[in-house]
Amino acid sequence: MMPRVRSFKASAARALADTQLQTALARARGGFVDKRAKAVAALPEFEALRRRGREIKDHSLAHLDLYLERFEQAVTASGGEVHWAATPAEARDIVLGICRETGARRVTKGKSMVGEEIAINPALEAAGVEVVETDLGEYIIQLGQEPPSHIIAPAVHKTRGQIAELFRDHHPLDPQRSLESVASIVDEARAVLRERFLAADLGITGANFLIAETGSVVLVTNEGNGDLTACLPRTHLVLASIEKIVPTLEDASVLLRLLGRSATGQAATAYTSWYTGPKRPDDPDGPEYFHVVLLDNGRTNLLDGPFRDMLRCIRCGACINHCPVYGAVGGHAYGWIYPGPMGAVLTPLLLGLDEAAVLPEASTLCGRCEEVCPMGIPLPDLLRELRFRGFTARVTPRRSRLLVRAWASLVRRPWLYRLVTAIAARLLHLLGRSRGSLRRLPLGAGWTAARDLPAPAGRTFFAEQARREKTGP
Amino acid sequence: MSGARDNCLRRLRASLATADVRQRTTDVESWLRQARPGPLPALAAHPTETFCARAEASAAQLRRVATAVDLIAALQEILGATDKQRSLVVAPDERLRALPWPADLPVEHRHAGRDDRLCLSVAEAGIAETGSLVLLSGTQTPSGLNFLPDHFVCLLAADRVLAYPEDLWAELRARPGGLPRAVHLITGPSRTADVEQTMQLGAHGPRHLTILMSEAPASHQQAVRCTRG
Repeated sequence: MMPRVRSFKASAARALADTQLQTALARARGGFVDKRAKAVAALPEFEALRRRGREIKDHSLAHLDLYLERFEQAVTASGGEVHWAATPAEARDIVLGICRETGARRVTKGKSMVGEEIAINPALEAAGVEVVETDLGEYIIQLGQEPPSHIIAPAVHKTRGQIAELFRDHHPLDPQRSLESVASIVDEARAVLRERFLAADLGITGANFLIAETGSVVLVTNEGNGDLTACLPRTHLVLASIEKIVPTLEDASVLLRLLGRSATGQAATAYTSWYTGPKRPDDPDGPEYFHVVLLDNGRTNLLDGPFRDMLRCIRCGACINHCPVYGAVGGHAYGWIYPGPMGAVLTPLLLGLDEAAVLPEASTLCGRCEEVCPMGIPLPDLLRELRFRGFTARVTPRRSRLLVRAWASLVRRPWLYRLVTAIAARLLHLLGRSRGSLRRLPLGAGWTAARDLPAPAGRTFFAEQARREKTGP
Repeated sequence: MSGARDNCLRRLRASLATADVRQRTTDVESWLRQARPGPLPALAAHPTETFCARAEASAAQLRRVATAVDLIAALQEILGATDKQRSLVVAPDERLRALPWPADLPVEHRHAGRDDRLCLSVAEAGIAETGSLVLLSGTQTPSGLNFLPDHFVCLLAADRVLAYPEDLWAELRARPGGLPRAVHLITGPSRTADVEQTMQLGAHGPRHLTILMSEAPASHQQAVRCTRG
């Protein structure tokens, strides 16, 4: 999709006023948080796993060139082929080339964030290749022609009624047939997509991990759509970004224990599969061709510097589920494909600060994201670093820069700071004296639109402390 | 696109090759050779028992089959309850072929097709930690059987329950010819929570998963204790 990050403020305002969206978000919020908390509490080894997971990723990233070469050798040895893409355009060309070579006209697709990143669907459609998303959430938003609003629950913003309506618009359905229950909706999608699975010439999946040692691609799903996509068509094509590499099968097992619990609160998803090459000569089923497209898209540049930490991300979505800003506005407001704290860091890094400087500002820096991140990514620090870079490069709005500069000159002069805050505290105290709170704040109408400001006690902390030191409490 | 490949590797080396190249290669070799497992979650009980509890918690049905006759009877019962008109598709596995199949049971030994409702395959192992079945693709156990039917029935020898995936990796590494095309860890039937975060079984894969645990002398006690069916 074309990024619409710049209009974050307007999109967020629209999202707050959208009652259907707010209903859907309210339903999702507690669910994800509670399930994760329960799963983590049930595993005393979680912290130890987290430390080991971080160690594995740090080691993999520090030796990424060597492990990528290993991976390529192992894939080739198993009869598959690895393709390297520096940019989304190169990745699209590779995929279209493989479709042409194999004569693929019908493509099924498992969920892939790299697929979203390179916008593969419109490219396939433009080339006359029919592509259908098979993850139920992705299928729903494909029908609605929308981007995903969450990296693991792409249709989390949709209510049951909206989904039923989409199915009625796109499937030849008897109007009498009820799509009231969740079961009836899932059954309808199952029946329609089953035909697509069986008719597909080529299946595209993402990868949760790539194993350097064996050349395997690890795929995690609950629906089984990834496996039907990988096993039934003549060609299995994997889209993955370069930082998905881990050295060994054991390393992947450590990260899988963290991934399921952090994402959906599951110790294991229904299906976890390790794919290594095409079908063997005597295998009765499985794909004849196995391709892996490795996408860089600017990631190599992140290795040098503070943003290397971001490459540890395993795309569990825990930071998104725990983010108060995401919880209020949902994923679409972020304007591209990665929402929440991980999106607010990754989007400016992949699209450039010019495009996305607004996202790091859309955070309270409350720190919950870092607390729940299974890979210990210091998201608030990275957001602050991006704010600093946006400020220095003058891409943050003029008004914000002016205010930050004014604030800086105030706090750098303690005498001035104390004077101004003493006056402000006194003034606000007088203004709110009758009710003990303020309904409207001069210059802060946005803040007081939804709540009152408790009136200050009249003295600043410094003044009160000085008084106590003199006279005792 | 070897240009993209070389550029990518060159950019990586520009950022990473602060350390000596030989040292980095040695680090990689030693990490791969050690294949060190991470912290392993303690199991609440004996592996077989834990497997049964976890598998049932993931909505799999578990039945004990002491003999080949028990196994056939269990399958007849499932077939009767599922759909009398259709056949039972059985993995072309030597062990399954050798079973005393009754003449009136509509059995076909082959890989799965589009309309198959009930399939039977054999698990390479079970994983106690998560209650998962391990299925390897291959001539005798093609992968489609695991994913296409409405009801997937899987035979698992009780003495093949391993504690952790790490135990499986050690075994697979020792196999000649490396990993098979696919290693599947299957934990319960297919499911989705994509509609209003409500868990619904039977998304694209099987709606039902039945594990037939065949007893082996070594773990007879556990197999008996954990059986509900």
